[in-house]
This record gives sequence, structure tokens and C-alpha cells, in this order.
Amino acid sequence: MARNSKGWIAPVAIIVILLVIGVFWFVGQQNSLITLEENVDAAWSEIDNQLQRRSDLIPNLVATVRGFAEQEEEVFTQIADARARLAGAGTVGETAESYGELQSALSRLLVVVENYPQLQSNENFIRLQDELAGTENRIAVARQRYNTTVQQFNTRIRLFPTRIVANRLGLEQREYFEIDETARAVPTVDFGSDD
Amino acid sequence: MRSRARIARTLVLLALLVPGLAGAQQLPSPDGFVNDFAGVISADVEAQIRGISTAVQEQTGAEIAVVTVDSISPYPTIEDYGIALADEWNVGSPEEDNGVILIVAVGERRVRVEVGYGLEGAIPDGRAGAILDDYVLPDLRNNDYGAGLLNGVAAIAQIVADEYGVTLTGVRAETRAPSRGSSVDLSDIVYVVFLLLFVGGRWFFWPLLFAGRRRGFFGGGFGSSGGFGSSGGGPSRFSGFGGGGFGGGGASRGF
Repeated sequence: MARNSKGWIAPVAIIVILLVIGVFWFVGQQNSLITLEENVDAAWSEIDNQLQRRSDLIPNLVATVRGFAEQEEEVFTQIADARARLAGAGTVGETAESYGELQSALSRLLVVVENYPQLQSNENFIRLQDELAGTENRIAVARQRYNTTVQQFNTRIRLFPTRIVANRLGLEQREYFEIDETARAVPTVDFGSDD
Repeated sequence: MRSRARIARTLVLLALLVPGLAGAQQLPSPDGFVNDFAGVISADVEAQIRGISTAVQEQTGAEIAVVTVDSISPYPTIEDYGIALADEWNVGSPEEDNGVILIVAVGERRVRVEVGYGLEGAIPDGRAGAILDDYVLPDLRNNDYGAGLLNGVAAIAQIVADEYGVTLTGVRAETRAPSRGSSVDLSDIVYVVFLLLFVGGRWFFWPLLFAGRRRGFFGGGFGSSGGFGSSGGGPSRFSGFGGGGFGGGGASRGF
């Protein structure tokens, strides 16, 4: 009896231990993947916040500019359209695209502004422009951080053996927030192409 | 020919040994509240600025740092440089993220205020720009860097003090801490030995030393590796900033 039980206890113990290790590993991987995904979401919401913040600044900016440059209706319309599209964007890709559009519309506005020296020395306008530039910079920072976390996440869920866990959790690769770098607001270097 | 190949191989080996430093080596290490790497601030002005920053730090916990550099290269803009430096230095306390960095790039003739998360309410971007316009730029345009930075730090200190509801007292010129300087003591040796032992061990070793100081893996890594910087070279007495976080708030100007 004693000899008999000794015979099967050892392999069963090993199997149990391996199973326990396996389960621990799986749970550990699962937790760390979920944490990573949360990081991606958190980084995204920071971009989202800043985009929202910029959208909130735009009406003030436009109103200020309008006070000096009423006839530049075309640019105002472009900005309003781009802003509306950004608000309606669903996916990361759509957001990135409409972000670029709004960006170039804003650059055009700032080019137009160069024709109005009075506006440029207007304190309120300077303040708004600083807020806008600061928000752009925050978006750039948030974007870089987001892309870093996406890269970590995507790499992890594609590598074996974590991949097995990721598949079971149904995790999918996340999209990078890629923008057209030329659209990044550099308001002072463009030559005014007001058509 | 042969020796060149050997040098190249050695460099590659060294680069492999210090992977952790690669991202950060273009950035200087902090040396207190005033980091005049470009050498454009006179000693007594530097002491005055340090005095203000010290008073602010003691009475509010906020940290105001000043940096001058000859060039921000290889970073494309002072905004990129600013956030990389902010992520590396972590000026401000980790709980309140109340750091401010005033950066002057002498070569590029650009100046930037980098505002930590916790002070974005007290110093919104518009106000940051106004500080530069009103207090800093006039002197910078006359190449009087020390005066401009002193005025800027004083203005920021006032805003920070108001934010915390304190009146700054006992502001005085602060020369360097007396213990700093020539003598090499045991802790320096230990520090160097540790660095040698754990070269490239930034990810293993630093987190232990500065547990909780660095948050996340953000920052760094804008450019690829270049030469070897002075980071980790001479032991510095300055124990580092608190650990505040930055998100790119602030304002920049050319001058």
C-alpha cells in the first residue's frame, strides 16, 4: 500500500506543481498584459483631453481674430469644419487624420494673422496663441507617450509565449497615433498663400 | 587601419555595455537649481537665483530650475529638448508635480518655460508666455542672460508663493553648499564603484537607488546614441530633484 502510493504520488506531484506554475505564469502574464492595455488607454485619454482642450480654445481664438480680420471668412469656415470632423472622429486613425486637417487650418489662420500687426500685439491674442501652442506641445508629448505604450503593448502580445495569453484574452494590436509631421503647427515659417 | 577597426570595435563594445545611457547621454545631469552649462550667468546672479529657488523649495516644496545650454542639438526644437530634460530631471515633488524649468538655448536664441503638471493651473501657458515677454525677454535681447533669468525666476517664485498662499521670507543669495567640492569622501568612491559594477545597469540599479523617483518609462529616446556624455562621470553632490512629472505645458520664445 505504502509502496503503491509512493509510486503515483511523485508524478502527480510534479504534474500538480507544473500546473500550479503554469497557472501562476498565465495569471501573471494576463495581469501584466491587462496593465499594459490600461496604460495604452490612459495614454490615449491624455491625447483625447488635450485635443478637447484645443477644441475648446478655438472659438475664443477665432472670435479674437474675427474682431480684427472679419473678411477672412474662408479660414474661419475651414477651422469650424475641421473642428467638427475631429469631434466626430471615432477611431485612432480618423482622429489622427482630422487632427492633421485642423492643424493645417490653424496654421493658415496664423499665417493670415501676420497681415494684422494690431492683432499680433493684442494681449488677448498673444495669450490665446500661447495656450494654443502649449496645447499643441502637450498633444505632441502625449502622442509620443501613447505611441511608446502602444509599441510595448503590440510587441508583447505578438511575442511567443505571451501571445497565447493575449489570444485567450482576445487582445488585439492597437493603432499608433500617426500624424503628418508637416502638419505640425509651425505658424511663422510659411509664406502667406491666401487665395 | 587596423587600430581604427579596433577603436570601432571597442566603441561598439562600450556602446553595448551602456545601453541604458544611450538615450539620455545628450542631456546633461542636473547640478542644483542653477545649471549654467553655457556659462552665461555671473556667480553673484547665480547665487541670487539659487537663493530664490531654495526659499521656494523650502517654503512651498515647488522646485524652480534654471538651465542654460549652448545648443539643444540633436533635439529639433526647444520644446523637444525641454520635455526630454523635464522627463530626465523630474523637477518638482512626485506628489504635486510642482516643478518649473526655465531653459535658455544660447546658440538657438530660444527660451522656454517648462511647467510641471501641478503648476499648470497657477501658470497656464498664456501666463508663462507673459512671464517671458515681460520679465525675461528684454534682458535676453541685450544678452544679459543672468538678469533675464533672475527676473523670470523671481516672477515665477512670486506666482508659486501666491499659489501656495505663502510669503517668501529669508530669500538670500545662496552660495554653493560648503561640503561640495574638492574632497573625495567614502561615498564618492562607493558611488563610482557602484557605477562601474553596474555600468549599463541603469534599469536594474538606478531604480533601486531612486526607488519611486522615476515614473514610467517615458521620456528619453528622442535621438540615437552619439558620443559619451559626462553623465555618471564625476560624482555630483546634488542629490537630484524630487520626481515631478511634466506634460509639455509652458511657453517658448525666440529672442
